[in-house]
Amino acid sequence: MFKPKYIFSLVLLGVFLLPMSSSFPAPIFGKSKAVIPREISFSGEVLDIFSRAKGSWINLLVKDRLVSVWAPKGVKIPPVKYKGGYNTIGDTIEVKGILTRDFKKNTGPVVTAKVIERVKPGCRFADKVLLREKNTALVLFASFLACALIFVLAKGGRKNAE
Amino acid sequence: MIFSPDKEEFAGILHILGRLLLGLTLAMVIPLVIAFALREQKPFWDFLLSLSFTGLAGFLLMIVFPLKKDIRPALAFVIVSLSWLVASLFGALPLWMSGHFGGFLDAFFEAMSGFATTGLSLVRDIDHMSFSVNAWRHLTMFLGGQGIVIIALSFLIKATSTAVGLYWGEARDEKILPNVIDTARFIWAVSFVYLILGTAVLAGILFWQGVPLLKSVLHGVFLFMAGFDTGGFTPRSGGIFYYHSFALEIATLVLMFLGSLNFNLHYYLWLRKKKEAWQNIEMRAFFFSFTTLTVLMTVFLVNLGHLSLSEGFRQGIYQLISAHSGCGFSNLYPGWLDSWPQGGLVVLIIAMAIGGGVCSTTGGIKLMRLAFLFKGVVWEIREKIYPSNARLAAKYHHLSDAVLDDKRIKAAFFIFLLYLLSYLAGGIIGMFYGYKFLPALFESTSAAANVGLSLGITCPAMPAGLKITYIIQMWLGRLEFVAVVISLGLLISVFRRR
Repeated sequence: MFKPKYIFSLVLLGVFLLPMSSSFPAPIFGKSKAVIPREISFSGEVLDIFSRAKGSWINLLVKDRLVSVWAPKGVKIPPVKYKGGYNTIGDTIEVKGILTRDFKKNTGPVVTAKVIERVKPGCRFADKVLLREKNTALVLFASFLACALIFVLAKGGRKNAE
Repeated sequence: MIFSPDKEEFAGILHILGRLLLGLTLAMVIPLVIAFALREQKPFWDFLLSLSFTGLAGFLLMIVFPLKKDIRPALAFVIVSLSWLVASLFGALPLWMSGHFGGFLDAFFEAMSGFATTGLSLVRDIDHMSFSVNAWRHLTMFLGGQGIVIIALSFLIKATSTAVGLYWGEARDEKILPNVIDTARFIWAVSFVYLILGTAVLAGILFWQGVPLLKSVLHGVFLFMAGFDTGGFTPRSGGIFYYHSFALEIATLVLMFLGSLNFNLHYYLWLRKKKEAWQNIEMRAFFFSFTTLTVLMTVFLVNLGHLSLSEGFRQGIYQLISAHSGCGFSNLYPGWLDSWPQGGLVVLIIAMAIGGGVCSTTGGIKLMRLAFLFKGVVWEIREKIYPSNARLAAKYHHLSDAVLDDKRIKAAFFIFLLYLLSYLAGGIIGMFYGYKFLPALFESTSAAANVGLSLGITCPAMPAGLKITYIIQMWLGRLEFVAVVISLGLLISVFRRR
């Protein structure tokens, strides 16, 4: 597997790539680096909170987009009663913090919270099922069972005939 | 001359499709039970309705069109082609009724993406989706990854020549055991064992990271089905990134890698023939391709993206394995892939285009075919430079030593060419809708190679024509073109006869 020719090919590839890489054009992250870090404030629906040793990750739904907020140990997180999910609208919280490009904690930009406040409580709501849908489902289910019975009886009949 | 199916054979095709629909009906019982257990009322009625409709259609097909004779192998290709369309059509019903999709086309796209183990998604507001609908989304990946036909062979169809045709039709180039039914059952058994082990590990990690027990177990099952079957759906927005867990990233990396392995290799590893893993041509091709692409990716990310070596490695490796295995999981911040250097995206396109092992759940050209082509080129060069009376042979090892012949190289080249054309055609259609070439090619390759990584083109607002293009690409890519091409040939012959 680890034949010398493979190792040689890899070394050759590395030797070829290294000088090439130094002549690459301007970095594409340069622009975003110039913009951040900056103060940021926004609110969103709480989806989940994951506690870690040095703080917590708060996943928020902000205008249909997931935004992850890092809340260090010192930052107080208000009690969250509802988290967004099926039939549940999560509590809305407002986050004031700093947007940075910190890949050590994350694989993308990170908002490190300074202040977190609950601005709107969430709620649970019940499903609404139309009577028409229930009736259609029941009629179809009964037809399905009838078909299954006919099929089984017909198969049994054929076997007896043989 | 192309032969045309007679009336009895047509009836047989519809009969077998009816059986497949019954299989789909049985599968729908799982989300139905979940909806009942978790008191998700609306999904419960949606699933009861979809299940009844699908079952009814299945029984009607079986009653009206009895199976009177064995189906010829060429017609089995038609059944396989149609089965993926029919499964996606009926499988889209509960998704459509859930209200999380813009229309039936979007739900159909999602179902095809699931059954083809692609992972491109048009879902809206996934974070408020019920567990049962999410279960169905991920179950489509599991069923599709195992192969709808494999499941039908395991449980619904007796050992006949039809069964053999169906097996080959589903882009499965190799048998593991002498009998295709036994092979199908072995594939099923392997996956079931991995399902239990994988779910336990993933659920354990999620629970350890602070996710409630029930949610850990359900998300564990979902992520396993999407990871091992190289699908790529996730139950929440943001993919694997959502969980902020390095342990989960490692576990899903292993799952994706296992899922991209040839099932034959699983069999050999189960028999503790570890030597095969080092000698196998596919493993060698994977090692070479993965190492080369990793070096390239790291250079691009570190130099152009200005990431540290460890950051570039963490981001690069995950996306690379995800692309190479055809899974489509991502540990990147949503939308962040778009900010990658173009060179990094090109490396991902290459990895997606190649894919994993034959007889696995991955899509794409496949490693073995590329290895055959490479050996073929080397063979050709050697023939030119060696004396004409020299006897040259290209050898390879896959389960046993073999000599590479022209027929295999030709077959590999045929599939290779069709995939390339598909990637390119999808890219050009994307450009026609106003997208730039590289993102359009990226998305097209992701669809045709059944990967699921996205630069953001795939979204509910994308043009309907592009949705249909990607549906066709996912379908063709999953069946490796052959079954669909044969079906089209037979369809033309039927029209000509009339």
